[in-house]
Amino acid sequence: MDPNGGSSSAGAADGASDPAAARRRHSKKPKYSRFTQQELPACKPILTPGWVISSFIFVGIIFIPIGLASLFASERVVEIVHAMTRTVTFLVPKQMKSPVYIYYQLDNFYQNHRRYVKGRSDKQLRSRASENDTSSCDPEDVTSNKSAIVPCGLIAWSLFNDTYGFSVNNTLLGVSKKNIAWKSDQQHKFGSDVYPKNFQSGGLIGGAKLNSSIPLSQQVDLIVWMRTAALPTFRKLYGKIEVDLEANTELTVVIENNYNTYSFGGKKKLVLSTTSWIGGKNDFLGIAYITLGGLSLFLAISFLLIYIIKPRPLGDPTFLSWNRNPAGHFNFN
Amino acid sequence: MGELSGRKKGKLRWSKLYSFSCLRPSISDPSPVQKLFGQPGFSRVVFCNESQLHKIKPYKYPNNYISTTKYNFVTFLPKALFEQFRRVANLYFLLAAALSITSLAPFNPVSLIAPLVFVVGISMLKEAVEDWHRFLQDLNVNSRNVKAHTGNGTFINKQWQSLCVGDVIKVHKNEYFPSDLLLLSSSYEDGLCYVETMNLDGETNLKAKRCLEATLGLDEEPELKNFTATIRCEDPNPSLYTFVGNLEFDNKSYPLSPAQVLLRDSKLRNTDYIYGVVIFSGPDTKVVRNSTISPSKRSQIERKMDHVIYLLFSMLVLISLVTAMGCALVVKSDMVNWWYLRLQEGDPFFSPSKPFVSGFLQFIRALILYGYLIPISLYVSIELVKVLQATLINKDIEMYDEVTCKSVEARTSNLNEELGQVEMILSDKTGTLTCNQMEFRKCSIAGISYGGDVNEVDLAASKRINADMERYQFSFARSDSITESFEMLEFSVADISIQKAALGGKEDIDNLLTGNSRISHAGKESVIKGFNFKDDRLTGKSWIWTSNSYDMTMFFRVMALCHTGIPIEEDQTGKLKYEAESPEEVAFLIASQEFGFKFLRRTQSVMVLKELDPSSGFEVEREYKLLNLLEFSSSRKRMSVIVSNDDGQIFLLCKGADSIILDRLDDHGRSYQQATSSHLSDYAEDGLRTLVFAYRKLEVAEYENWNSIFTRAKTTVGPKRDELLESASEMIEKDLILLGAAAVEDKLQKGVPECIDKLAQAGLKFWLLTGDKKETAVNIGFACSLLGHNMRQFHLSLSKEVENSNQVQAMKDDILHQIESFSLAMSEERSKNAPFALIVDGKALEIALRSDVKNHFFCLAVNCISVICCRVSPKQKALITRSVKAYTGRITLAIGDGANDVGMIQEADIGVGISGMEGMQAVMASDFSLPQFHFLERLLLVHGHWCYKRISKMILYFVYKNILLGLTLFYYELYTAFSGEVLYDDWYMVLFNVMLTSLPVISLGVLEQDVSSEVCLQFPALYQQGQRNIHFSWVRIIGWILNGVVTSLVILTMNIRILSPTAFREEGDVADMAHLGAITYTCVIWTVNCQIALIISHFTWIQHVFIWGSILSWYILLLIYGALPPSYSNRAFHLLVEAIGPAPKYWMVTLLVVVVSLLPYIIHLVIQRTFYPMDDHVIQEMKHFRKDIMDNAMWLREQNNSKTTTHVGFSARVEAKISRLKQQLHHKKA
Repeated sequence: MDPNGGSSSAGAADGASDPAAARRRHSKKPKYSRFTQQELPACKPILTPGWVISSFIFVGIIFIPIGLASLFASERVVEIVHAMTRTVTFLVPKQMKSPVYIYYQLDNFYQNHRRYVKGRSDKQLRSRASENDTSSCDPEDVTSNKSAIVPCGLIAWSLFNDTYGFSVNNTLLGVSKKNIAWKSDQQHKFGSDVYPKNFQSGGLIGGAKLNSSIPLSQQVDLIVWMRTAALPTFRKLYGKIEVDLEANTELTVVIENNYNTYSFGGKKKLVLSTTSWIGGKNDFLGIAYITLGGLSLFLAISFLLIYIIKPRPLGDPTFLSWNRNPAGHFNFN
Repeated sequence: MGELSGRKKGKLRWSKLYSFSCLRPSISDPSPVQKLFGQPGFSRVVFCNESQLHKIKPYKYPNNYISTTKYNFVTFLPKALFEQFRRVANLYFLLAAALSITSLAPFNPVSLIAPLVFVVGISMLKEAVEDWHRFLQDLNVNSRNVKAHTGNGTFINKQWQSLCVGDVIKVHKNEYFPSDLLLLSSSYEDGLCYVETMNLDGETNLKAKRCLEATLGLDEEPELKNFTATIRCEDPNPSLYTFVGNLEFDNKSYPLSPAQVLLRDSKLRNTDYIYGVVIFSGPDTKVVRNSTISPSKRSQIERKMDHVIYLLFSMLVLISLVTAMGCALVVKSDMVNWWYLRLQEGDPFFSPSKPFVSGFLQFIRALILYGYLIPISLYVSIELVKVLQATLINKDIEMYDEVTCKSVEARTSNLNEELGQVEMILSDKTGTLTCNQMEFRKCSIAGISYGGDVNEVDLAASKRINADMERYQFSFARSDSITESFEMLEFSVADISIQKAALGGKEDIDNLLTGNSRISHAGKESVIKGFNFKDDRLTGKSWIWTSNSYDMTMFFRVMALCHTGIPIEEDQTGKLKYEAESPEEVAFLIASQEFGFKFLRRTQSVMVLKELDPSSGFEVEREYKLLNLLEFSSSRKRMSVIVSNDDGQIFLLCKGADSIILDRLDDHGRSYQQATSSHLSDYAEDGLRTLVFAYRKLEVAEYENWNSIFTRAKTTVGPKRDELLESASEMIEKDLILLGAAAVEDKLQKGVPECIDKLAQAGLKFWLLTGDKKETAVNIGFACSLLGHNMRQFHLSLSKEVENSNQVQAMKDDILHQIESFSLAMSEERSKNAPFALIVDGKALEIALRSDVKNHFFCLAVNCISVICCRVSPKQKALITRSVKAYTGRITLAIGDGANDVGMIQEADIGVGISGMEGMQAVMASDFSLPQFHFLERLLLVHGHWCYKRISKMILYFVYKNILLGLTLFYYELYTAFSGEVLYDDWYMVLFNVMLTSLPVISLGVLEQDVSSEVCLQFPALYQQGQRNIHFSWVRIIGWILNGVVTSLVILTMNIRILSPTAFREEGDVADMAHLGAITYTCVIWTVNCQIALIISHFTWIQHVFIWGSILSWYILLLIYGALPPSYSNRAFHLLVEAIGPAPKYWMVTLLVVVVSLLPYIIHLVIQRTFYPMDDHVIQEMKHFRKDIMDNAMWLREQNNSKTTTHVGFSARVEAKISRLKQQLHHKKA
């Protein structure tokens, strides 16, 4: 700033006289670049009727086959759902190719309840070294003599403990527990050196007990159970039957009904199901796809009709606001 | 030193010219004020030259340090923090962050605290930087030096800030006064000095100040050694034009008036030095008292956003209440039976015995959990986007001024979008619209007009008529079109001013523009500063051959003699430079020099001219004796000199306003009156300032007789003096002979009329607020086309009697009466759609802005096309701005360049400072600074429009996406027995606004363009989208909220229906919480990113990279997060690779849900675009199909149609001219 003239006179005078200063001031000129001048080449898509109709048709054409395919896949799945009592005998309605997955389904069981979800210690499950890491496991953290419970927490404590025995024509069917748990769980989350300890030893017994000589990484039922379900109605893998079940086979299930669901009014169900590429039986996906595809075609046709009946030429100036409402506009014509 | 000053005194006796004021006794009757001293309001005592007495109470006054900063080092933290947490949203986030540390929090505390610290930190940093700049500016001012008396008659440099009341200081020519001073003496013998008060009131003419006779002798340093006196005066106040005080000196008491007071921030001009005593210092000075505290401004959109936030907050409270109630109910009714939860263990969150406590705790937790509804990142993103927007504004090469080497500067980034919604512009005049430079443009001598007779309006009108004629000729749609066109041709020929243009078509117009020397060019730089006149009939000496060369000679003599200017010898060229009280006198002197009447020098009583003698054609030097000078005043509106030439002939030469002079003409002196009057009105319509020249020959006896009366009047002491002088001058200024008129142009800044024109077409209204006098303001009104001939002007001013009576009630009645009669006139003429203009003067305005008159005044004012306020003080400018804002509720923009505009700039919604040549105060106070007024057009129509749309769309989208995420959390609660469990991993949510959806929305906020900048300028109507705020209307806000509500419902329910309870993979696995969370979240990410792709209409590579990159980054995040050891990744471990990635259902769900979620918006979009397209849509389509090139006629026609009909602006005048011609045509036909 000019010390004599003060703020008001520090202006045009000083730059002009001094060429160096003038250069410096000229360097203030913004540099041209397409970005700073907001002139970058841009694609400006316009919603033309052709574009609208063809994309709706495109969606219809793509979605309906996908829907049909998934509906077909879902139809292929054979699923048997039975409420659980002591012993059940039922006919296999259609041939069930192996593997036949056995699920138990619980209703009204809030595995996603915040209190329940928190009731575990991943550290403890992973390695023996963190055995005493039970801080999040209250109230099932330590025994009365302050010895850590492994696995601790409400989830493990309430482990499902019904068992099923399957037989066809009085021949027992083997139930395989192989690969029913996620590999990553078995390999990384449940330690092979962590063994159950003090489990279900307190006054309150929740669910299943664990064989304390088998490391957690091998306790597949526990691993499956510990993957908390997202919703209060859920299925969990119990095992698989690795033989095909022919249609009309009479299947007898002997159920050891231990798990208490009466107190909270939940229902237990046994589910036998095959799978397809889409997973288990679920028609919703296919129906939704087909509906959406159909809706798209419908929209395409409606818009087509609209464009035919009441077309608006694109870029038609009569639709500009000042032409629609020309009041007060002077027109030299 | 004494020697030096003596020499200077000898040189210029400029002050002697002011014969009236020099002899006028100071104050007629001092006794009434005398009693006031010592009373409240008049308690100040100043001991001159004894500043040490002011170091102790009760006479301890603040020193001259001024501070405009908001904070200091100690107060910054508490004050700035307080400011930050006054925002409700910030307070909420603070609360949430505090609670997050407790066990209540559903999330990781870092995810709540970090963004808060970031937001508050950034805002505080911004505050700190801004305040630092203010501090530096203060420092610069405070450390300026001034010569101050240290006793012993010596003066040393002292910093401004260390000046004390009572100090005697010496200020040199062109320096600013450091504080309010009492003038003791000046370099002139009679103690006069000249002051420029530009920074106070924007007036550029010099004001004379005069010291008391008693202190006249204190004009040399040794004299001041033993000087002591006491001043008793009023307390500090903001009134610039009043001062009551009295000086006790040498045991006598002298009354003081404003004429002895020099105010801080005004500048000493044309006077070598003055001595003065500091009366008011620092914060007590009138200019500081006039300044208003700079308010922190927020844009209207941001204020509305607060309401949106309140709405979201109520939504948040509502769903939290639902959650809490649900929780309490479930806990109380049957949760106790859920044995696997072991509730009896006494978890306060789920305690069946105390359901209310549980409900309450759940409520608090839910408030935090659903916090995504209130997007804290919105504030961060908006701040960031606005800074980037401001950078782009600053970088706009189109708004760089080559002359001053400055470009536009967005000084705050808060108000970018406000630029797109401005409805009223309040503009200063001098330095903003005008260059503060007068140019001689035209003259009418002896009934002939010189200096161009075709003006820009006529040219443009004829161009249009020609173009239309062509159109008619080529259109065969109407059978009679050809004949009509011929008639029009005939008619055009008849009109003199259009004749040439219309006949010859385009070529001839171009010829006219370039070739004809008789057209004056407004835009072109004149070679001689102050002289923009091209007419070879006058400039080439050829006028001496014309028949009425005597009148011409007299005309030029009036120009060269009737003034108060003095010549200053300058450089080699031989031309003289002139200094005068008003710039128009300078223009006249320069012009007369060009015409061959060079004013060479003046002494006390003699003026010397170098004249072109028409009889011989040679230049001769002639001396004129200056007998009397009847000076100019705003009430007299004329000025005369009485001179006698070598032959002893006595002439009275007079110049003045047309109304005054034409009334005083002799019956024989009216030969040119008719022609002159018509020229005058032409000039006035072009916005030129006109003065009429006349003369009178006096007989010696008559003169002697009159002179004795005049001298008697001059020497009279007492209240009758003015009256006597007035009547004396009336006696002699009569029976004049009219010579002609001269017109000067208050030179407009580059591009001003065009800019005003464009902005008026975009629907903006202009108010002109100026400290200048009414005539000047009205002239500029015409020059900028704010006023037109077809407009009815209302002049609101106090009548003389009422003003003198000084009674508030009488003034109020007067003003109210006037307003009523104007309103009545207006309602009568309303049907004719006639435009009105209101011209108010400062004193009337003061009354009009009082609370009980205000409503009437504004009712009248808003119905006027343009409003001009003249002679307004800085404070009044601010007050008008505030009142306009409050009364109309419209968004105002104030633009000015001087310190006197600071109040208005601060008060308006947007303050714009002109960073041209003068002062920095306006710029420092402004929100945007422009090097040129005409950049305002681009700033508003392009950047304002863009920023408005960008910010509105951005906020709406932000609300949408956060509702979308927040509500999926809420819906999920319904499935978890309201227990507060979260579906998604903490990190997903933290990264939602940081990484996964942030960049596209920023690109929307920074780079979106509905139409290109050229189109914005071509179609000013697009600007009205902002004025009507259609992009941030409640309909839109609610619409987007609903879209979010519905979409989130669709996403969650469809995911649940599809993924549960059966297996989602061929391997028989069922989806657990982690799977469902990740899949749902994938749908959320896809939906919000595809949604923004539908909103954006302008895709550069940046938008593509950001949008698709954001989606991609989600998968990358899942991969990386899943690859971390399980102790970090928890539930997400190997999630994508092992579980959901290989499942076809995952991808199918994503596709389906995204399409369904976007379907409502797409249908809305198609319907809107098809049936209710907005202007920008249609224009986009036109551009897309290159209709602007293929059907250029339509493109131009629509540009024309898009302009708002306006009575303001250049094109309006052209329009008016054409319609006038058309009317005449119809008249002819009939």
